[in-house]
Amino acid sequence: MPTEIENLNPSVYGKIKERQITAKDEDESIVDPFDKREIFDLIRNINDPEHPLSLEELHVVQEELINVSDKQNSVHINFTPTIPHCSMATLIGLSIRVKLLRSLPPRFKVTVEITPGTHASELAVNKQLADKERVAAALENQHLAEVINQCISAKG
Amino acid sequence: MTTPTLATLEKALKGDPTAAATQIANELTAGIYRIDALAEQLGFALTSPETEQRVAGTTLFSAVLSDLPNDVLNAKELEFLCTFYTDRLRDHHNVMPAIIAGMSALVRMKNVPGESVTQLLHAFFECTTCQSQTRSDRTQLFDMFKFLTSHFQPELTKMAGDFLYGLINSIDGERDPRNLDIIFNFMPEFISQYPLLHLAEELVEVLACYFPIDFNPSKQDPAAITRDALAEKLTNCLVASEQFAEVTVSLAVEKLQSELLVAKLDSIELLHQAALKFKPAALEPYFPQIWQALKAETFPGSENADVVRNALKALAELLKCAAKEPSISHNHQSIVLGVVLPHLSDMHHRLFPPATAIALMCVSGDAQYAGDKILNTFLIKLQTIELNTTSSSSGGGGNEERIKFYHIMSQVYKLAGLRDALDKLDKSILLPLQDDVIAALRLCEREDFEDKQPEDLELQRAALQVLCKCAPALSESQRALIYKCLVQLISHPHIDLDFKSLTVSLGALQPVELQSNFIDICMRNFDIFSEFIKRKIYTNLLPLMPQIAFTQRILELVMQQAFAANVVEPTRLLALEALSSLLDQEDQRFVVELQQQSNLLHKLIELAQQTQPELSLPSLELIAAALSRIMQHLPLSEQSAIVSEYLPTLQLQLATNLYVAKGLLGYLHKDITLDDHFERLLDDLTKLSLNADNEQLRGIAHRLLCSLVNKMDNNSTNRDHVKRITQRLKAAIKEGDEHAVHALAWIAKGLVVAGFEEAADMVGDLSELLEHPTLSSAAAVAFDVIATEFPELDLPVVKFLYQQKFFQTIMGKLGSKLSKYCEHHVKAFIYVLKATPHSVLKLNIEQLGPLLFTTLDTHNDAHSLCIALGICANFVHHQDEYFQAHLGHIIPSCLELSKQKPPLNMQVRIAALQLLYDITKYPTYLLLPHKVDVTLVLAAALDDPKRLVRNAAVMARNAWYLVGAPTGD
Repeated sequence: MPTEIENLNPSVYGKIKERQITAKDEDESIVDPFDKREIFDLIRNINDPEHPLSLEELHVVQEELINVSDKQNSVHINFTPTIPHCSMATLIGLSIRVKLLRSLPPRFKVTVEITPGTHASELAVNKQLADKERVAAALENQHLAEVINQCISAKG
Repeated sequence: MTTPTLATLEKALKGDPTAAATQIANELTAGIYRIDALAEQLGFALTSPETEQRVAGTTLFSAVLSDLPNDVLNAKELEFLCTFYTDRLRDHHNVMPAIIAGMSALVRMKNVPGESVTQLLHAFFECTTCQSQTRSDRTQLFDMFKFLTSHFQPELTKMAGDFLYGLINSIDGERDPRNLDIIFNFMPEFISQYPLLHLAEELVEVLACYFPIDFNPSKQDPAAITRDALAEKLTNCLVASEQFAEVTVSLAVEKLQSELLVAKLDSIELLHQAALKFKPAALEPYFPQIWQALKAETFPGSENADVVRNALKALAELLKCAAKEPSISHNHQSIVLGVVLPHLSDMHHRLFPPATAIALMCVSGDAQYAGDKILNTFLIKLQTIELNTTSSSSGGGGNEERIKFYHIMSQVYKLAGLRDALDKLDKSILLPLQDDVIAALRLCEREDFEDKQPEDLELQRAALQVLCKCAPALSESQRALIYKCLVQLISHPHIDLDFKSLTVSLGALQPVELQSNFIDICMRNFDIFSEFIKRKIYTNLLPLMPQIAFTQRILELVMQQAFAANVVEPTRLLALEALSSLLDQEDQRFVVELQQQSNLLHKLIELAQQTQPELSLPSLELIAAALSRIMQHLPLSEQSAIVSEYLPTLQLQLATNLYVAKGLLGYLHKDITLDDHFERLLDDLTKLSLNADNEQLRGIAHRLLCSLVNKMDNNSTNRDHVKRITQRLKAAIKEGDEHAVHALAWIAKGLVVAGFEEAADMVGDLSELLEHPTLSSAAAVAFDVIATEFPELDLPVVKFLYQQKFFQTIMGKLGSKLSKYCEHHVKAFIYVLKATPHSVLKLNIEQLGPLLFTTLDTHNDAHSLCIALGICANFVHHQDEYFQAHLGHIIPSCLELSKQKPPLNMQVRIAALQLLYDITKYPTYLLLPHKVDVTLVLAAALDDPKRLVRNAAVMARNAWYLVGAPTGD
């Protein structure tokens, strides 16, 4: 963890309410498709590496910036770093990727990218996150794995 | 007889001194010889040039002194002895333990002269030090000091600094927790009663070096001193005198910066206690220092919730104590509020929540001063936000902020109300603020409000909450607007807002106004309102019932609507609902009075039995509930009279009469004997249970049967009746009647709970039925009925530990079959296990374990699987060792269950996944061998068609990924 915090006083937003369980959810015969909210629920509780706050509270991830197609087996997520030169962007992206890798069925193709125009080295980060080899290599790194596990080990 | 001879004494010195000492003490007590004679006789040993001899002699002499009753020796003798011990203090180090024992016995003597004690103490402090003694001797010394400080206050005060100095030296460097426990116990009182002279600082510094206490008690320690107990006592010492304030505060502030959680919590507690014990003036110079330290913990707040909570508590206490002196209080408040107020205006700011928490602590300290300042901040902010009518469509926006402010405001009002400061708050701030809240509430009067959804009413709910808390501060014109708005709300055709608490607080303050502006309007038009509005009126008016001004009117309304002949069904149902909830919410006195004044019971029974038009089942259900509620509250004699009045006329075959019986008998007191009616009731109810087609009616009959046999007097007649009925049911069972099995199960339940002997036979009969070709599943369900607890069923006679007994009976009856895992037997047994207490299951886990595992492997009944998984989960939750040893079995079973397989349902899959998640709490080395398998297999459950299952799978799989992975913890 870096000793100096880059963004000292970020804006904090409220959390959305827990998803209501409907009668449909309880009915065995109805198939529930994967939707935006479900993916959002998977990643909203990931901790920020700098603050004791979740990505949802910092508006790093937002439900509107998620695209899911259950039929075409694809999930596309845009995330927004709190400041344009945030050095944590790759780490946050990596955490989202790893969390989804562990929580989504393997049939999905997951793309994690920075919201266009919100980060100084957007392309470089996107490229890193899209590279499977690099993601796998990152998880081999003891220190990185430790930080990522800390970020995603929050409840849910 | 004279003094012991030289030979005896020599023998005693070499042998067992305790026995000899006891004997000598007895002889001294009996007055056979005096102590000086003994001293003379023992002189050879006491003054021997041999150290060993002196040690032995002094030990014997001191042992005699400790064995003596404390009133045997007179002052002169004691003076002599004290002088003797004073001289001995200069002796060899080895003799010291014996001397300390003697001293501590001497000072406890009743007639010991004060001067001798001071002389002894002077010599002790001069010649030796406490810390050079062994642990047990130091214990003796501290016990002695404790005794002295409470019994020789004038003498010790006269010794001035000498005693205090000696005591400080004695304590300095003490490390043993047992001794520290003694010291911390008596010091607070000592410190508060003795003048500390110039030594206050030395004393507090000796004590301060123990702070914060760091001590791990050993598990075998018989004294059982805990760290927390020691810490609490030390804290009391540190706040015992106001002279300590400076050192104590700087100590707490310094240790609060520590990384250790214990140090932080102890420091906060020290500040809290300091606030309670020290005068505000004593703490005032250090407040900025304290606030800086507490701010570091609460603003934005550390990650530990305990630290934040306790720090806020300490701050609140500081401010509350300061409030006694307005000038100091205002100084403190302006320091704190100066920091937090600027952050109260932006709710998206990270510092907003901690600022709110601190602001509320300020209000709880000095409600008037802080309340004005905080409410003013909100007022200024609210004036800049536009009131937004379309909250949901514009994505929250201004209203979200307004709602948040309203929530905080209502807490400020509430705290001010609790501190009796509501009327002292500045009216020029309150009135415009309240205007704003009322304006928000009045949004619902607008026409475009029609299509609002219930979740869009958050702003109005928040506004009502504020108004409820600030009711006493509302102006007359404001109240008029509120009444208008309430009428609008209650007669609104779609919106259902709950404003009970507002009407209750307004009713208490302004009964006449509320009567004419709100209640009158509701009542006048009651008949023309729709059902929806009528229900709203009931829910909002009933809570006003306890207020004497409204009781009669509301009661009249409910009674008229429930019992008048011309009322039609849906309206009557509503009124009966209202009546039921009224009886539920009111206390016994009210219910009894109501019954006496209006004979409600009779009216209800008449209503139930009316034939034109006949009442619907829901109405009858409500009447039964109301009846049983009234019966519960009536005195025994009246209950009994009512039963003998109405019971003979009831014909239980009629649904209406059955419901009345349910109401009358359901909660009848167990001491009221029903022997006269018992036989007829049993017969009728059994007949009904066997013949009726309506499941609901049969259910009522079953419950009544169960409750009746449970409460019956244990005499032969009653038992014969039950036996006869049982025979009849058995005959029906032989013919293959499933209904009879159910009835038998319910009767058995009543008997099992009450502990009747017949219960065992019935359970035996039911267990035989488990092999029956057609009735086996009904029999298995019967065990479910017996084992499950029904909260609404009244079974007052409960045999102690009946669940355990039932479990043992079943174990005995089914044992042989269970070992062969017969399907229905296992199922029935699982139902029984569900209701058996965990401790009993744990005792028998060796036998139950294989059975549970078999159940997990047979995938044909979802219900019993869920129960089995639930039981396993409970064991795993307690980190059970048996399950720990069988993880290799449970994990594959659960993985298998987590896959989708009809006829099993999603509950089974969820429970299995939950169990897999719980298993991750076991030690890592046990789990690692399974990790790869589990994470691979769980990938399938991630694609389950049901979202709830997927959620459980995500939890379990993520937890398994973390097993043995580096997490930095």
